[in-house]
Amino acid sequence: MGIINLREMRVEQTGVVAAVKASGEMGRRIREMGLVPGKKIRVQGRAPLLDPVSLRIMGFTLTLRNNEADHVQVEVA
Amino acid sequence: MENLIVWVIVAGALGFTIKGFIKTYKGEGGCGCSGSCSGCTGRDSDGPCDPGKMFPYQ
Amino acid sequence: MSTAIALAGNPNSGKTTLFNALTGARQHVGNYPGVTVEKKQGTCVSDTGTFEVIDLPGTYSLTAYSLEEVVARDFLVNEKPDMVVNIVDASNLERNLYLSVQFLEMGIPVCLALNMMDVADKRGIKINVDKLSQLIGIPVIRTVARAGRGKTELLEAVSARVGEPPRPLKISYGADIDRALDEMEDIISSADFLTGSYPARWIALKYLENDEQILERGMAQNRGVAVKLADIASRLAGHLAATQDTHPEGMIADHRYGFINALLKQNVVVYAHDRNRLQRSDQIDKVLTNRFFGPMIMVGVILGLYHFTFTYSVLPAQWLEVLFEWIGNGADATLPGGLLKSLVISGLIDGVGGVLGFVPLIMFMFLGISFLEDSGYLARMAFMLDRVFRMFGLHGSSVMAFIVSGGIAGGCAVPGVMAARTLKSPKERLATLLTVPFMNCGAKLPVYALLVAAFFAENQAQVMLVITLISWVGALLVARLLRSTIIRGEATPFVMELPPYRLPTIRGLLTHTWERTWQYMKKAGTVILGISILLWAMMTFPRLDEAKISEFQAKRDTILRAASTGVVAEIDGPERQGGLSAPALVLKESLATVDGEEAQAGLKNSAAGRIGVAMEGVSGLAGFDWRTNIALVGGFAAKEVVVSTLGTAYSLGEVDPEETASLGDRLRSAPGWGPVTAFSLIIFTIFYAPCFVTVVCIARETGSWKWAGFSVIFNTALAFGLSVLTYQVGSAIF
Repeated sequence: MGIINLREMRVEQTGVVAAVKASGEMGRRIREMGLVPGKKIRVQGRAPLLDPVSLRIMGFTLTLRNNEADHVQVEVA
Repeated sequence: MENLIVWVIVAGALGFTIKGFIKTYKGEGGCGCSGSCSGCTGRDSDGPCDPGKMFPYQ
Repeated sequence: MSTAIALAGNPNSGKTTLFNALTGARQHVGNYPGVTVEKKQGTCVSDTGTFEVIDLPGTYSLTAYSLEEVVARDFLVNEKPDMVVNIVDASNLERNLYLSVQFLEMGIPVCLALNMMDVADKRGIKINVDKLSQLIGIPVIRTVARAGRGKTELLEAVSARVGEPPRPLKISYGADIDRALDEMEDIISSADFLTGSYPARWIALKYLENDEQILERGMAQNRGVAVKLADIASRLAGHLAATQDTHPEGMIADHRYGFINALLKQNVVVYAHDRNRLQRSDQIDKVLTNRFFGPMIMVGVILGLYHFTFTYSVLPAQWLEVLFEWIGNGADATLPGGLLKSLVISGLIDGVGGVLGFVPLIMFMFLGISFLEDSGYLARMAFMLDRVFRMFGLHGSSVMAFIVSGGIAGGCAVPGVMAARTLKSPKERLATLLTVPFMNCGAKLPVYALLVAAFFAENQAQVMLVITLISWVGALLVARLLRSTIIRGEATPFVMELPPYRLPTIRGLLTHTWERTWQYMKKAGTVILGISILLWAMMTFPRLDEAKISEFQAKRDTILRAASTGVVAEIDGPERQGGLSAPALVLKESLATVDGEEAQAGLKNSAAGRIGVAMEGVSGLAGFDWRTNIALVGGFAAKEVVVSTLGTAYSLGEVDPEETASLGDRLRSAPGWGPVTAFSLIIFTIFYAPCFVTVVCIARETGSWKWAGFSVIFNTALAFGLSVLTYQVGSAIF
């Protein structure tokens, strides 16, 4: 059990969002797509250059850049 | 006589083209590449004139 | 008396499909006043009544961060439609409700259209619609917009509900925030602060969310109150930062989802499987966006598209060629020699006909592109290319702008320039809209197709791929260059939903393909036609002066006199069995040569010819002769004109007027033309000044003619430089 940055998660790894440290528009965009504390996520894959990352959340697939994912803390098993 | 027809056609083309240029300059004009896309009739998706095509099937 | 309804919902929720199902052909597109956001309206005539339908921009939320959201919000507040139909993707209920909840908080009359029920069923998602409706207090109608199901029930529910004053939804945001909201609500109500437009509590909420639009309005309305509210908000922010290491806007978003979650947990939704498990689309993506295969597949897909197009459009193209030949022969036979005949044959048939001859190719290209678009693959392209694009100062969303402009083939730079609106950073936006004109728009396609078919017939698809790659690489490099000269701005977030793959419907494919093909044809028959006629006139007048004409006639007379009367009679008389004798053939050829010289001289003497010749000194470096120059100048009006003008020029200056070879064949045998020249011309076409319409569009989008002028001058200079390089190096090597 530990809290890591979303960027550090491996493909196929699941976790629960612990905290979102972004504010302003970025924070809003990240949150309105469902990245809020308590949500389960699963990393689906990364683009060929390892950026952006795609993940499964609330039943759909979301993509975001690594520097955006940096704002998200995830609790992993 | 036949030359008259030619002149009429050329004059018509000139008028039509200039009118088109003015319309485009003013920002009206149809859709697609013959206008500045401010009067498009959309269908399922607005075809080539769809600026928001980021989300393919909205 | 019609009812006004507004359609709102997430992108990919089927909103447009529902809009089309409701309005059919009775729709049109305009602009919201003062802003460059598209406004789609239509009329729905049904048994239930008549409805005026507005399709609001698809959004995930109603913040003030993007123009689309503000436009949607303002429309709802100012126009006050009778009902908002919120389309919700049933297979994505939780996220979709985030927007719904915001409508409810605004106190707007809403009905929910629970769309894509079929998809939800397939995924084992069971929704208790009645429970949902009861809990949120508004009608919820099941729909499958794609099949047109649920339309009647929806309209009936809307009609039944119209007129009932809605109560704004009140959500608890935690003790701290709730207390602040209560305090602010009192102040707002007693001061009548903007309460004409919005509910009091909602205004308070916006202050806590730092909503730019409301803050501005508040300041303008009543400075004292505005300052007091802002004060409460900042005190709260400070408190939350200190005690919980968070801020109001974040907490509000969190609590909204909390509300939704709690609601759904009350037996509203049951999931048969883990929602986040891999769907078929995700499994496909494992391959298509794979580290190694992804990019290869992307290139392969494009190459495959070109191959498909070139292979299957050959036959229809040949039929068209035969048709034009037949028309040409008919004109040749029926029209008396002279200006009219020249206009019809050289100006129209060889000019515009040249452009129309590519309709089959264009159609197949559009078919392929439509397939890629409708399937959802393009979003994957944006996903894979975002990182690369960012290195050059662009954005993943720029990929879409590029594709729309013809990144793969056959688009138009105008919507591409407009697509750049979604990019916030001025650097990204400007770099995008200045580089989209490099793409293979539908107008440039005939130019490439002509040259590729004439000079690279063995490897058409591969050469097209090379052209495409050069366009993209060029665009990226220019963007990089521009980036270093433009001020940095805030980056646009790239938080994007990857919609599931869809098998495109035949109907959708054919509709999209036909629409675009028809637009191409229409443009050819109107704009290109007009310009071709004008260019024909410019290539015909002024005519050779009397002296010159006499000179040529004298030449002809000399040849005729040198021949025996018998042979002369032979070529003048009716066609004989067995054809002409050898001396007669020689005579005919010599006369034809003089005719050709005269025609060429005439062409060179014309207004357009003189301009072309004048430029030859410089253009020769790139391998362009005076005829090509005329064509390229014509290309400023529209790129197809390059093809039509070359057609007219080579037809007018034709050595043997009876020769009915296609333009491609004529170019192949023309002196000075070869693969290197052709490629140099292709390079020039890729990069030089955008067509007039695009230039105007750039001026409008950037708000000044400075950038429009830049795009003309810089692009042309760049194009010329590259062409010269190509031609000089190419000639040296090959």
